[in-house]
Amino acid sequence: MSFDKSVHLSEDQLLMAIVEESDLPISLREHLFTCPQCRADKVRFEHKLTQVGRMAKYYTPPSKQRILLPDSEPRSFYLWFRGRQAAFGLALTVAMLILVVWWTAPFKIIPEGGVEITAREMQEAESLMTEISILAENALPAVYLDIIGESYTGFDEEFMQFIIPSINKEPQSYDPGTKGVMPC
Amino acid sequence: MPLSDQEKHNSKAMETASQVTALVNQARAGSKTAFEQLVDLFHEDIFCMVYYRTRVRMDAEDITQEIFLNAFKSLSKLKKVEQFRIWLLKIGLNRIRDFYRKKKVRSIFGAYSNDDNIDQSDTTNNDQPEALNNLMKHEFWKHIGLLLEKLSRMEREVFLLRFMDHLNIREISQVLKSSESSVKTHLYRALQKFRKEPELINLLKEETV
Repeated sequence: MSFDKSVHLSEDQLLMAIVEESDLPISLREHLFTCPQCRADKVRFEHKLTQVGRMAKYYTPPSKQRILLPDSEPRSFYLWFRGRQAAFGLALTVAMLILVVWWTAPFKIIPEGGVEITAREMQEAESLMTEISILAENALPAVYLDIIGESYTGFDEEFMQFIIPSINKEPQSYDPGTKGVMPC
Repeated sequence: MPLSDQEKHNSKAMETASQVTALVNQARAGSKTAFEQLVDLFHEDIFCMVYYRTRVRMDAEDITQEIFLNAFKSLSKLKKVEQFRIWLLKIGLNRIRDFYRKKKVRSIFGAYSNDDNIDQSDTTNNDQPEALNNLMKHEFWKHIGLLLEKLSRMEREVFLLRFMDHLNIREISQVLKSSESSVKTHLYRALQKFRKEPELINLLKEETV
């Protein structure tokens, strides 16, 4: 990479040099090494950053608390539980909530048992079979049965005889000279 | 031939590191005294680290206590003995996160006032030089607070760990369980934002700490 040695490092390049000088391209590194102005800029900025750390330390109050360590080996279960108090509390609350809901509305949440389902299915199958047998006997709807005279089966022999008299027998009364039928 | 300052510093650091490793091993073997020595070595660093993030002394003291207690309990889980400090810092960051989470919950229920985050416990002295010092302290933490508010969580952590806790990029990546390149990116962004804080930079110019 060609680089004009008279051109100084930009501010961003200076920051890159502060982060990690070895990450700069060789030409820039050489420039930084030879250019007193860029070197001074870098040192000045680094000094500010060092000062941040120094001031932070200076303005940090001393700790007044002594670190206390447990005398014996830590009780493992107690410490394990102590670290999970919140989780246990949450789990217990959820369990209580489920219990309360279960207790107050048991029938709403009990699912239908297998027996009920089977009985209902059998009933449906039975009604379906009944419909099928009716259709097998006579597939026509009731209105068509009326038209073809199949809907009423209560005609007795006498009525039929009245509608269609037998030809073997003599006519009961017939007078061609008078109108209508004369009773005997 | 006498040793240079850098060499002296390095040899002292190595000595401390080996001392820490030895103490951690003893503490893991059940020595409470060894752990107490570790507490003495790291107490100030950890307290400062917590204070930089809470800016309230009493909260920082409580959290520091929790951190060391937690470390004492789970010392057997430490895999790399030589990384005791990094491990302690990780515990610290987790405890601070827990603290803020609890604080947030409490503030929802109105049990915690979020109005004044900056420690007022040591700023009641009205002596002239003390008062000035307290004022400067208050100003400094206020501006740091304003800067930190403008940073994302990662930028904030990286900035604090690098320039206040004095960790290098590699150590920061270990503490945050992140890649070094990611740490550098966040640090770069944090520095860009820091540069745009003229009041804080002016404050740094005025200071001769």
